[in-house]
Amino acid sequence: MTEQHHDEIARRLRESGTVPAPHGLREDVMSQVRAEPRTRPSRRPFFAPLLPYAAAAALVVGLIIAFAHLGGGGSGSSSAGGGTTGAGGGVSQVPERQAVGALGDQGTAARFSLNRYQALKIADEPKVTATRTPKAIVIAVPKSLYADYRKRLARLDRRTPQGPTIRVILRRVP
Amino acid sequence: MQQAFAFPLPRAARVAPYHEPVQIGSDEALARRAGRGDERAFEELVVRHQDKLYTLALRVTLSEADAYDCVQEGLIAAWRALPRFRGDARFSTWMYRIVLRKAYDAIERRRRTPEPVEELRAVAPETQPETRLDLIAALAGLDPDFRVVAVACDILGMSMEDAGTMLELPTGTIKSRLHRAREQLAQTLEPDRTA
Repeated sequence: MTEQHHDEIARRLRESGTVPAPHGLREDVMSQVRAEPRTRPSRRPFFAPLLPYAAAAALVVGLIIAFAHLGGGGSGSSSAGGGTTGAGGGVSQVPERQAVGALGDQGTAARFSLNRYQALKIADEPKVTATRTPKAIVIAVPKSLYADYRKRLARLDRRTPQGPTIRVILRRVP
Repeated sequence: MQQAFAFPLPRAARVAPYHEPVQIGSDEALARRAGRGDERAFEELVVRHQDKLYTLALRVTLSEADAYDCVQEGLIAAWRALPRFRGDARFSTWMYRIVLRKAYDAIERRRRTPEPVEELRAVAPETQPETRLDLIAALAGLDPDFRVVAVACDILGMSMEDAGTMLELPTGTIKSRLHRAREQLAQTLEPDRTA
C-alpha cells in the first residue's frame, strides 16, 4: 500500500461529493424552529460574580453571631437539662423544658409554676433572696442550695392543684 | 428661495435588522444572530450546511430515513443550544458534532432493534456510477469509527484538527484512523493492486 493508493482513495472519496439534502428538510426544520418557544438567555447582573463571596461573608457573620449567643447561654442547657425523672422525686419535665435557656443566665435559673401561697412562703425563707414582679417571683439561692431548692420547687410544681398559680424563677447566686 | 426647497424630506424609519439580507456574513456572525433569536440567520445556516450534514449522517447511519431524522433533530437541537454557543470551535464543526451524536444514537438504537438497511444508493450525479457505488459500498463496510473519519476528512473536506474537535479525539488518532480507513477501502476496491 503506497502513498499513491491513499491519495487515489482520497481523491475518489472527494469526487463522490456530498449528497444533496432531501427536498423539504429545510422547511421541516424551520417550521419546527418557528414553533419553538424561544427563551432568550438571561443577562446576569453585574454583581453576580460577587454573590458567592457575599453569601460566604453572610454565613461567617451568622456563625459569629450564633457562637456569641451560644457562648452566653451555652451552659444553661447543660445545667438545666440535668434533672432526672422517676418516682423518687425527680424534676418534672415541664419546668425542665421551660428552664432550658429560658433566662439566658448562664444556666442558673429554672422556672416553675406554683401555688401563690407556697411561693410566697418559700420567698420568705431566710436563706433566699426574693424579688417580686407583677407576674413572677424571682428566688435567688446560694449555689450550694440551688439543687435542693430546685428539687423542692419541682415537687411542689407537680403537686400544685388546678387553680391560680404564680411563676417562680429560681436563680443561683454565685 | 430656491434653497428652501432643498431641505430633505423626513425619511421613513430604518427597517429592522431582521429584514436585512442575511446571505453575507460568516457562519459565526450568523450563529450569533441566530443565538439572539434571528430565525432568518439560522435558516441561512441551514441552507449552507444541510447538504454536508446530511451526507455525514447518511454515510454514518447508512440509512436515508435515519439521516433525515438525525439532521432534523440535530438542527433543532442546535437552534435550542445556539444561545449557549461560545464559539470555542468553528460553528460548522459544532453543528457536525451535534448531528454526529444523533447519528451514533441512531446506530445504537438500530443495534438494539435490528432492521434491514434499505439503501446504499448513490444520489449525487456521477460520471462513473458503478465506480461510485463500489466506493460507497466499500465505505459502508468500514467500521463506523473509521468511516466517520474518512467521511469527515475526505468527503466533507475537514481538516484533521477540525475532525478531531468534532470527534473529540487527538489529531494523531484521526490521522491513524484515516490511514487505516483508506487502506481498507483500497483493499476492498482494488485487492489485486494492494496485494
